[in-house]
Amino acid sequence: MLVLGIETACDDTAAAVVRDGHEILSNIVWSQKQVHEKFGGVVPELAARRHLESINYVIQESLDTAGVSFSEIDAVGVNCKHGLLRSIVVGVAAAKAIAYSQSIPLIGVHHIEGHIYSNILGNPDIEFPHICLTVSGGHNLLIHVTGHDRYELIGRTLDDAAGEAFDKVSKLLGLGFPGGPLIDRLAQRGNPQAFAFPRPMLNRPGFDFSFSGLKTAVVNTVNELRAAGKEIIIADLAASFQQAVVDVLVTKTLKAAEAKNIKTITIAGGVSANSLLRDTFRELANRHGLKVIYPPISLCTDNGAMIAALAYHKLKDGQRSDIFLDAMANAPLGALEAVYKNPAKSFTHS
Amino acid sequence: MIVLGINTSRRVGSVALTNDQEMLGELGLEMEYDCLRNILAMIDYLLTQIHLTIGDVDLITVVLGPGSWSALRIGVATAKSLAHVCNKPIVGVNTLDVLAHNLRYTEKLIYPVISAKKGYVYYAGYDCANHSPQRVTEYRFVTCDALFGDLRAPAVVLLDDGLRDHAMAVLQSNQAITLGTPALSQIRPSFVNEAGLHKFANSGADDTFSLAAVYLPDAEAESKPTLVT
Repeated sequence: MLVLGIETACDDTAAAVVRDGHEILSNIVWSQKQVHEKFGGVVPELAARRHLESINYVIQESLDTAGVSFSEIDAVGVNCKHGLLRSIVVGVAAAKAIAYSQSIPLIGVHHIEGHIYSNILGNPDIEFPHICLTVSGGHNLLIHVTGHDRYELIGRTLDDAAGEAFDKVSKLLGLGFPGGPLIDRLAQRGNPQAFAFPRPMLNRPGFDFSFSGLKTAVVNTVNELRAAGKEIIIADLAASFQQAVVDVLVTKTLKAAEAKNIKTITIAGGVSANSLLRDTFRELANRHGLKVIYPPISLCTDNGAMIAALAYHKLKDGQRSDIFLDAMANAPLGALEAVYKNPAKSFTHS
Repeated sequence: MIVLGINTSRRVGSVALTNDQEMLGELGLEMEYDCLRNILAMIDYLLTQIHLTIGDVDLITVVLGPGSWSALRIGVATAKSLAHVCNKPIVGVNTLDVLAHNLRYTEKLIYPVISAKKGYVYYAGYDCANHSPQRVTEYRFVTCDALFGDLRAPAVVLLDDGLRDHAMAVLQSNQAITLGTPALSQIRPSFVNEAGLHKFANSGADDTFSLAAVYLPDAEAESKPTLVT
């Protein structure tokens, strides 16, 4: 079965064709990095405009690369439940039109659930239950995945997501946007022990995160160094900041695995591409006898393949959306039926 | 030629099916918040009632704007993707050009006006001397009060809902300027098809892939952006 997956949650226009939920025939991502980098962050209105102008090119490219035509696609999956609303609606409108024209099933899915499936995609025999850490610029969650479509949220960020902290610190240090890869690269020649930044929430019970205070600590340090007229070694700041973030993410995840007595951990989302995070998880997993799974770099950031893989499993389970499918910026993860039986006014226009 | 027209540029979204210019059906709905939810279902309802399928449509016309940003994009993305999958030509038309069709058999000038943020309006003037609206001004983006100064009488002004009270007060004294009623100031999707067919006959179809919406020159979006991070 061939599923076309469409994803326009934030600033990447993405479409992919996936066979039977695990074989990627194409995975096209049109990045808007150049549009947003001069602003130092994603500008929602610009993102939505670029989605509308590129969506059909991206979809066609995903078909061409897979060597298939619309008539060979068996179902369309689309993220409709998490992200920037004005971006999401473009992908959903396109997905609805395609499914309708071809008379094939349409499956609206949750963006973060898609990230969970970026690992299930490449590991169809993955063990349930497992703990999934999803972490990007827009989300930072610890999820107890007990089966297909069965989730228990056990921790989340109380303020900024880790990826958001990376972006803000990158902007502060004058490195650019997006911050994750830039800090990752710079940190490799810095000293991670140079500054003793706080490890927020680490000694608190529970599995929630907080990165706003850490970001402020970096700001304060930079200001103090400037005021004292001292030389600022940006690589050391980047390395120390990154080390603090990774320490918190890894320690909380391991604690959650221990508490739930689980041996398999998956990490997903843009920050799961961070090399220190991957190395640290790998090392600790070896030491604690855990299995750690993370996606290839191409599946860490937003992509259509994870949406197609997830839609495949939902369809197999008998789930599909109707012609009234709507979009939400931040739907709860898990059983969503109650939400859709009482469709609230789900977005406002600008 | 079966033509499907889609308009989501304003508070009332609408769709029409025509056979060339002969009306087959028209559907309009206030759906400020429910555009994504409803627009495809409205198309499906019309097609079904007329015993057609999307594959029978020969041309798709769509209002490109200006108008409400998100709703506009939902309509244009729907139109583009239907055209893409079904491999049918698509023609986009400007909101003001379509509105001018509402009143084409008059000697007066017609001024469709759309309200924007912060007291600004977007408008153009049309001459219907040969029964087909010819735009005789630039598309202009000015303050509401500047608009009233710009009008060349005798004229009919087709106003957005939000501007009506203010305009009545200002224009009351001027006998040569008439305000169109609210119903006359709505986009009629059959006229989207009419304007689209006209454009299709003169200059052919638009490129499905690169077709973009038309936005008001709202400085906010491009130069003073609200950032996510």
